[in-house]
Amino acid sequence: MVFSSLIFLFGFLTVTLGLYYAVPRRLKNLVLFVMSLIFYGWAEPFFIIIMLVSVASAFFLGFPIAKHRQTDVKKARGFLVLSLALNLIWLLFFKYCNFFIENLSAIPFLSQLTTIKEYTLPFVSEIPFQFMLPLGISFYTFQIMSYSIDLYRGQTEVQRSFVSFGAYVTLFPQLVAGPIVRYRDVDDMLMERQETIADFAAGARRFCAGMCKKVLLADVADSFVNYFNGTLSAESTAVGGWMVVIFYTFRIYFDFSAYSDMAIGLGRMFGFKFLENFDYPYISKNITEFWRRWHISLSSWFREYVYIPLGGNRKGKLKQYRNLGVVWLLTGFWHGASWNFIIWGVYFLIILVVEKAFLLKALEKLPTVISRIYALFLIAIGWLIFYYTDTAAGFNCLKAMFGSGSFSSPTVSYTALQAIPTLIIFAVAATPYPKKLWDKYLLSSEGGRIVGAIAPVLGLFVSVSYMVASSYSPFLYWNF
Amino acid sequence: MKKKNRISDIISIVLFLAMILGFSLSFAVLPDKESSPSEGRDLQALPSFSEGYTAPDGTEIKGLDYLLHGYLADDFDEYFCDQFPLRNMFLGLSALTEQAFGRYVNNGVLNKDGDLAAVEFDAVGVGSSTEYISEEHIKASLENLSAVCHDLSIPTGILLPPRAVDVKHDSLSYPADNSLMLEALCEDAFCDRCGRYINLFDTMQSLNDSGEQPYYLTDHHWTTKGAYYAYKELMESWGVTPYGMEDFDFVTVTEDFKGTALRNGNYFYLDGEELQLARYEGDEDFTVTELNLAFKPSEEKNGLYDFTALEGEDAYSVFLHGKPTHMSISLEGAERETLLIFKDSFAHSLVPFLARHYDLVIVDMDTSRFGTSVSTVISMVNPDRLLFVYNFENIIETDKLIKLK
Repeated sequence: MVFSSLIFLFGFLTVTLGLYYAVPRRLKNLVLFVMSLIFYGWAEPFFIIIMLVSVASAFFLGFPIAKHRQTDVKKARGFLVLSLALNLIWLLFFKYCNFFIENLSAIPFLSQLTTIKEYTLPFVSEIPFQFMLPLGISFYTFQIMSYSIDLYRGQTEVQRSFVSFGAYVTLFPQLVAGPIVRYRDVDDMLMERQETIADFAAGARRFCAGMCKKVLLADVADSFVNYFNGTLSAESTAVGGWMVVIFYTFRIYFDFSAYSDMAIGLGRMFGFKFLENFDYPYISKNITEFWRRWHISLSSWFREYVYIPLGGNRKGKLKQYRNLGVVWLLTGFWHGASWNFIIWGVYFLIILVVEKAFLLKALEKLPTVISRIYALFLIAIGWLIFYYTDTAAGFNCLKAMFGSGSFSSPTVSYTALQAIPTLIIFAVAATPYPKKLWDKYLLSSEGGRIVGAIAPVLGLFVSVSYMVASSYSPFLYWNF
Repeated sequence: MKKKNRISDIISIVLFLAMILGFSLSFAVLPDKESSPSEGRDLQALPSFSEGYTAPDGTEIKGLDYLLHGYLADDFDEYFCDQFPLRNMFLGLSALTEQAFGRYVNNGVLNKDGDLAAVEFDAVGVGSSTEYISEEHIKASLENLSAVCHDLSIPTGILLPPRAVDVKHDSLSYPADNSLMLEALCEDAFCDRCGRYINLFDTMQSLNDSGEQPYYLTDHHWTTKGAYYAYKELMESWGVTPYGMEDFDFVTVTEDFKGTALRNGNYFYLDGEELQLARYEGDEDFTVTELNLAFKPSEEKNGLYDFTALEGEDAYSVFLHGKPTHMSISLEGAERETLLIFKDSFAHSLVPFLARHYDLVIVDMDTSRFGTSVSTVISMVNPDRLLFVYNFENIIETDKLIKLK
């Protein structure tokens, strides 16, 4: 189920809120667990089984990990590895199996590998589902792993309630597209949390704001991306190419951060406080800063569970670059089993290494405007690589941007001109200024606060009109 | 600080819950509708396991499979959208919001100050599918039509009504490149077979520029006046003197015509417009008969117009009973030439003018009952003249002209 659907808002959410606040405290996690499973399995019921298997394996292996972590580290580590393996196997199978088989079989003496498919395909084709990839598997796998690792490290206590642990993993607000919530950040809230009027109100406002961002900004940007990308196949124009990249840059930010806004908002309505996942990434002055502001929960996950355990920057420059290399290959690969995502990861690795080596210092001396243009340009080119899973099409777009075809065509110019007010709105919306103005002028007086309370719901009302008009608009990050 | 926010927090919660609960309850309580007349389609009913889903190829998916394959979820999504309370208000609100943001194309329909034109094959706006005009497809369609007409020994006319955007692009400040391409393709396809193809692009554009309004503001068809000018051009190309504008009484039968462009673009907040009929003495005396596949009479109609259509959602159906079907129109006791018309709905408002000159046999090209052989129909009907009326939206979207023999 998607947040930006009528059935979520006027069916699922109504029922879930009603049940949640009607039942006594001890049943609240059960309500969340059961409703989250319905939310998850709505379109693809089969995948509930896979998720429950992952949840169960991590839950039950948590006990021996906790039992042995102080007395027999080796044993504890063994159980940790088993737990991680049982978790990752699904991710590897569903997300990466095909990719590995196809690419490895390109090597002459490994060409027989494709026969594996003949054995696995009959099994896979029996599974009744629409997509090959279980929704949000990359997200919940990482969440589950954070529990096992934190437990092993002694940073959290073992969870004795299957329902509570299940509720943590499947919690519908952040289930399919993050933020990736570390277990130890919410373990207290899972067992003891307080829902307050202030939290519920703030959560509702945040949810409405996220919905507006998704429906009124991200989906609009998406239709422009589709339009301009379509024009490229008919005629290669520089304006068309740039428009694809610019609109996609906005699209992916609004889409993904809108999901986080809604997740954080919904979480607050149920008494959870999730950490922020985005911090206005497009105002960054360099790529290092960008990655501190973009998908924060993923970057911190990799930093905490990969980069630092590998030694981080504590074992000399060479090792640091190796560690960065591992993290960025994994980051690219996490986003999808396709070469363009790997190229995308390597692209950022190179920029980050160059920035760390010398560029960062040079950039600091430049005027802010210049360094922001530098960062935005590299970010946008990164999104071009990210957008085109067909790398040849991506290369064509890049060539079109830099003049391989004509400058523009009449209809492309017409649509681009029509898009200018939209682009201005997008550009402003991607900065902290709207929020600053909101806080300054609306939250400073009683009247302003009342306007600030009404406006988000009005925004939701307008968003509903778009949902009625377009029946289905899945989130971009769903299949990661 | 906390106390200060208390009132606004309560307002936030009350409004949010009122909206969520209000619509949830009214959705649950209000009865479902079976169809949407404004869209001309059936609406999704409450999904049920016993009904399940029927795939386009006829396969039925029911019971547990219906759930496991995700069709239940899809149907529920559609059910919510189709049956949502105040649906048309919401659709209009979304279109209005698009306009407010300076995006004038909604669902493939351009709106400039209430003057609408479908542009889905040119520039694609929010909510449209990405489709483009295929030059090869148009070329093949036109060349085939030209070849089919080439061997005919009776006087023939080819009227290919331009799309609304081809006529109005200047007033809509819309790029004309596709319109120019269509016009040029026509010139190429018909140039060496003179006298048959009648270029309507220039006629309609200059009428539009002079403020005559040859096409509706909210519909893709030409107005009754627009149809008159097409009739006039056709008659002159055949060397027949057309009746003058003053020989017809242009009667407004509704001022609230909301056409296809308005409905497709969700511009439900716009007012309807005027729809006129060109009446004349004797236009009630025609015998109008629906024909079956063998061109035998199947049902007698009550005159050229179906006035009950003016009460419904699609007032354009007032012309020729609005149905895509074969028909004959004759004047009892009069010896007149027979004109065979292969047509789409643009011909419906043209027919009253032509019926004043000829007995008509009308073959609808969009109906599934239409075979593709022109010569077969000619041998069955034995007409004195032949006319094609097929508009460019159809030429772009269908392969009817390519298949014509």
